[in-house]
This record gives sequence, structure tokens and C-alpha cells, in this order.
Amino acid sequence: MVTDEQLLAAVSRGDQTAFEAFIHRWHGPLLGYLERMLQDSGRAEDLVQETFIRLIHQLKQKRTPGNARAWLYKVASNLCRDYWRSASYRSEKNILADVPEKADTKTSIVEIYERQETRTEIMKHLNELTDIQREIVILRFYQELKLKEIAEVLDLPAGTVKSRLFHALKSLKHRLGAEESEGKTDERQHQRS
Amino acid sequence: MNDNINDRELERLEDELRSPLSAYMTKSPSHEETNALVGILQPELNRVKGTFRPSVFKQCLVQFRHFHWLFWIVSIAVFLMLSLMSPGLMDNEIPLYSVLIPIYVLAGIGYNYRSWNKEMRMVEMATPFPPALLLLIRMMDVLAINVLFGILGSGYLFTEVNTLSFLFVLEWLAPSLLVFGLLAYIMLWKGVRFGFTAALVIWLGSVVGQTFVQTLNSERLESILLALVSSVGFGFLIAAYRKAVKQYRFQM
Repeated sequence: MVTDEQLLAAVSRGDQTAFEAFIHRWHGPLLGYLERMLQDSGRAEDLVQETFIRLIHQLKQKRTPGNARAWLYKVASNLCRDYWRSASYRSEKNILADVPEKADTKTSIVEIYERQETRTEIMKHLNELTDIQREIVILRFYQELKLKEIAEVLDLPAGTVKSRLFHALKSLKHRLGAEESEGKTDERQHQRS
Repeated sequence: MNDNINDRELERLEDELRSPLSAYMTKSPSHEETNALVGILQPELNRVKGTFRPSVFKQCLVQFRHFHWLFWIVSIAVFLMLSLMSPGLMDNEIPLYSVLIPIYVLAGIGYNYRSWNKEMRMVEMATPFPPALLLLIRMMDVLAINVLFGILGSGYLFTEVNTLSFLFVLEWLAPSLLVFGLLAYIMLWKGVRFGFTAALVIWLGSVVGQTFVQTLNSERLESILLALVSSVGFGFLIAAYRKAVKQYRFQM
């Protein structure tokens, strides 16, 4: 299989097919990462585009990244931070806060509902983590990066990444466990009544 | 914060949470969505293309790295066997080298043509080199490898057989160049099958021709004839190169 670095070397020579192959390879993972980070698919798509544009500029300056994977996530992660600091994010957040939550009226298909429910719960628990913990968990579990790569993406020592991941997972486990036992208690009370 | 974390405990936690966390799925972009993204990014890439000047020599080196390891192993084994067997067969009318190296060049090109990595071929063929020039570059790499091994083997034989002269090198180099040049030239004009058929016929002709030349018993005449054959082969190679370059989109 052609490595990312081989593809990028070909792209920097102006190779059209290598460029398309690279975009097809990375569009999905980057979009998934940014969607989980921003929880806004439209904004995620914008930042994916911006990440690729930065990559092309990098190639134009003859500075091909040594580790394409880490480079892409690092740029995407920095773009997220820039976005969170931006005025547009703050105003969008205020607008969204005023919008009342819509009740889901189409819950007849139990499976879809449960899946959606679990997804929402996971999102809720991930959001309860600190920003850096959430980012580490997303990079580790959904993007399947090694601890060393996460350290490279986040400019942190590998030990710190490991420690933060550990505490984030313990916290997640605790929250998920508590929820599960709450669920069981509710179920028992329901059966008694 | 950076306390001593037990690796095993971290692994266990990861294993426990993998399943619940996997429920948080995101939508994968469709093929059409990715194509649309490619379209948006295209003007940016076009600017990169504008700053790039391709080099045939660099492409030769790039292609060189893509030869399968099996090809290298087999080539080394073939030349090792040829070099070890040749000292005992020097009394034959034609040296083993001049019969087998040209056909091995053909076999090498055939193998590399068939086993050319599909994915890489797709990547390579798009731009900036036309497929014909890429194929020729790859063929030239095969020839260069064979010539290199041939020279190394000849060097070894010079130390083993005292009577050997420079003519020996010309005896395998000339038919190899002729067969290669003709294959490259015809392949670009008439296609792969036609090229290989013609090259095989020429190889047989070169074996018969060399047997005839040996009967003349004149080293001078043989040298002139072999030099002529080499020139013809080289001429075909230049013509093939020009034909391939005609499709070249950029100025050399």
C-alpha cells in the first residue's frame, strides 16, 4: 500500500491522482474527528477543507510533513481551538442556547431510539471531560492514534497524554457505571410497581 | 498530574470502554461528497502544479525504488549463477552471458510490466509524465540493473579467466542493447505484444548472428560488428525516447 508520505511526495510533484487518493483516504477520518470535536457537521466540513488547504500550502512551500497523520490532526485540532476562540463560535453558542430542545416525537423504532440515546449519553459524558481529556479520548478511540502520536498532535509529553487519558477513562467509566446502576435501580422500581 | 500510570490498568480501562464508546458514530462522507471536496481544493492544487518542474532522472530514481524485492533476489541469483558457470563454458562458441543477458532483460521487462503495482501505476500515470515515458523509464531501469550486474559479473570473470578481453563485455552488451532498443521502439509504436515478439525474434537472430561472427575468427571484425549493433540498439532507444517525450506536457 502506498503510504501517506509517498502520496504527499507525489502530490508535491503536482500529481493529480495522488492528490485525489490522499483526499479520499483522509476526508472521512478528518471529518469524523472534527464532527466529534465540534459537534457541528457543517462547521466540521469547513474545517476539513481548511486543513487540506493548509496542507497544499505546506506542500507548495516544499515542506512535506514527515508524519502526515499527526500533521493533519494537529492542524485540525488547532483550527478547532481557533474556532472556539472566535467571535462567531461565541455568538452561535448563545443563539443555540436560546433554542428550546426539540422533543423527539418519532421514537416508535426502539432500536434507533436506543442507539441515538446511547450516542447522546456518550456525547454528554465526553463533554463533561476537560477539553484536553476529550481530545485525547477522541484521538485515541475514534482516530486510533498511538499515545506517541497524540503527544505529537497536542505538543504534550507522552507521559502527560497517558496520565490524562487514564484519568479521562476512569472518569468516563465512573459516569457510565453510575448511569448503568441508576438504570438498573429504575428498572427494579418499575418492576415492583 | 503526571503520576505513575500502570500500563496494564490503562489497557484494561481502554478495553472496557471500547465497546460503549463505539456507540458514538459519525456519518462517513459519500464518494460524491469527497469528489466535491476535491473540486473545491482543485484550484489550490493547480497552483502547486504550476511551481513544479519534473525531471526524468529523478523519476528514474523514484521508479528504481519500486522494484519488488523478488526481482532483486532473482536477478542477483541469475547473475551469480551465470558468473559461476561461465568460466567452465568459455570454450563454447558463444559465451553464456551473450545468450542469457539479453533474454533476461526481456524477461525482467515482462515481469515488471505484469507486476507493476496497480495503485502506484494509477498514481504515476496521471501526471506529469505520460504513461509511455513512465513505461520507458521503468524499462530503462531494468536495463540499467542488468548492465550493472553484467559489468560486476564481467569484473569477476576477468579475474577468473586470463584470456578474456574487453570484447567479452561487448558480446553481451551489444545484443542486450539491440533487443532492448527494438523492444522499446516497437512497443511504443505497435504495442506490447508486437514489441515482445519482435524482440524475441531479434534475440534469436542475435544468437545465430554471433555464432556466424565467431566463425570469422577476426576479433577486429567482431568488434566493429558489435559496435554497430550497439549503435543500432542505442538509436532505437533514442527514437523510442523521443516518441515518448512527444507526449510530455512540460518542457524538458
